[in-house]
Amino acid sequence: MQCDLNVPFPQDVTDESIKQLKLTLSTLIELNYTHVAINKNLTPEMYHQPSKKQKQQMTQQQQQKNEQYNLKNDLDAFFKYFEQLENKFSSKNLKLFSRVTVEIDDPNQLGSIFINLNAPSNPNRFDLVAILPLSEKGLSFLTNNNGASSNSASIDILTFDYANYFNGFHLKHKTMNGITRRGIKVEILYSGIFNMSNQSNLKFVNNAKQVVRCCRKGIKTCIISSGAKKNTNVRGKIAVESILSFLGLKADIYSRMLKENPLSCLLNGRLRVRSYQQTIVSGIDVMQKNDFIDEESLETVNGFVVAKREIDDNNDDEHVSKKQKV
Amino acid sequence: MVRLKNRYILFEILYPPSAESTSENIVLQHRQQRKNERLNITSKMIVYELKKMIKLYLGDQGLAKANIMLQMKYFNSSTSMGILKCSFEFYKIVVLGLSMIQQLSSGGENGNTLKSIFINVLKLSGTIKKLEEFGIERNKQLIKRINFDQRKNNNLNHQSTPFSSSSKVDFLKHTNELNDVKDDDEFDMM
Repeated sequence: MQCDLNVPFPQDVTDESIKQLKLTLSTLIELNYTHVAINKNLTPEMYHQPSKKQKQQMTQQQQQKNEQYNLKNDLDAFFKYFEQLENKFSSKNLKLFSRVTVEIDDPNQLGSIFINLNAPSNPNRFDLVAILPLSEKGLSFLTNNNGASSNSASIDILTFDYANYFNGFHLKHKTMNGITRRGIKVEILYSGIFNMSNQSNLKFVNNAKQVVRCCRKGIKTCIISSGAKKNTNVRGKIAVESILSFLGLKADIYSRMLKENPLSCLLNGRLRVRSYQQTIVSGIDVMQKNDFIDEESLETVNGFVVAKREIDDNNDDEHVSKKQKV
Repeated sequence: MVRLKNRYILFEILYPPSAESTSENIVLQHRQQRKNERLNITSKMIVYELKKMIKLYLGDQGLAKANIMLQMKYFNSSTSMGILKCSFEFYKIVVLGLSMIQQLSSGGENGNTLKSIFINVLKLSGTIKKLEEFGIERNKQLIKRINFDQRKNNNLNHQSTPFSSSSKVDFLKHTNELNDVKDDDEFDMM
């Protein structure tokens, strides 16, 4: 069981970009990955409507783009493609999950984006919700009172832009511990190490070391995923482990970062969508999709509706026949 | 008297498919070279690229450490599987170098032709025998997967994948070749 919780969905949707995404997924299957999340990035221009003053400062092209863009249609288009991919790869032992990353520059611009994304009435809810702070203000959104009280339950992952130096902000133990104590995982994207141009491989090592330093060495807090836009930037388990040991981590820590931490993160996200207040769920496997339940098997016990299931008889028969053969 | 310990690395070269590739089968997609980029890969090319990558990421000191007992024990270009021998202490450096390789270049007379590939490290072990067993078992499973997909496609009346029975026999022959790899040098006594 291997997880990769960040495969970026292309910003400009064309036939070629979707084909590239499919190729990346097929390479992940070849490398024995089983749980993969497809990531939709939301930049501040997508969810924030500019004021009159800001509109006056914009060029004509930017204004036209802003008027044409509709967030709801964009998300609907994403889920349409996501369903297609799910149908295609469901027969190949690959479980796909949807994920949204909200880039935060100024928390005042956010408005009601998180409330809309997590509304129970919304038919298309994302399995995972992540945050990418572009400035120190954006990071402080997670620690200040408003952000912490209203949104901490609905956010699973905190990521950074590893291809560039953090924009003039320095990560502190106090802020990061406060964030991770609430169960939010911090993500490291390894695909930056393969990119030679613009010194992004140096920046990746610098940034990743900074993150690991202030997250208690990443034992229970960090997860690692690819973030690969091309299928050449994906690697198997042993290769990712060697990259992490190159960063100076020990074997017991990086084995957790690869398997247990992402799985717990995924479970948390799926429970938010599937369960009633993370306690009562229908079905056996939370990760499974389209879990079918017979209405005849539903019973009321102490005021709750419970689905009862029988164990498959076929499996028992196989056991018996094997024993008889022996 | 202590035996000098080695580590053996089993790896395979995968060819990442491009948008032009036609076959639907995932196993075949990653094992067929593109027509215009076909390159006869040799073990020399891989070792050259490996050393280049180690020098890029870990410098002269890293390269000097990795060079201890570095030797390509076996490489087959048709199955694109190989076994690399390296020192017990510094095997992590070699694995890092292998996983960083993104392309291979043929430094021939006709000029450099670059080919984008990546290397998937399959298993690390202290003896060649265990790697051989693992490699043979894995190749058998791959053939099973190809056959299964072919049968499924035939049932659904799709076009069959271009993997003829003769090439399957070749694949099996090369798989059995893995059995013959032996460690030539006897145990070094120190």
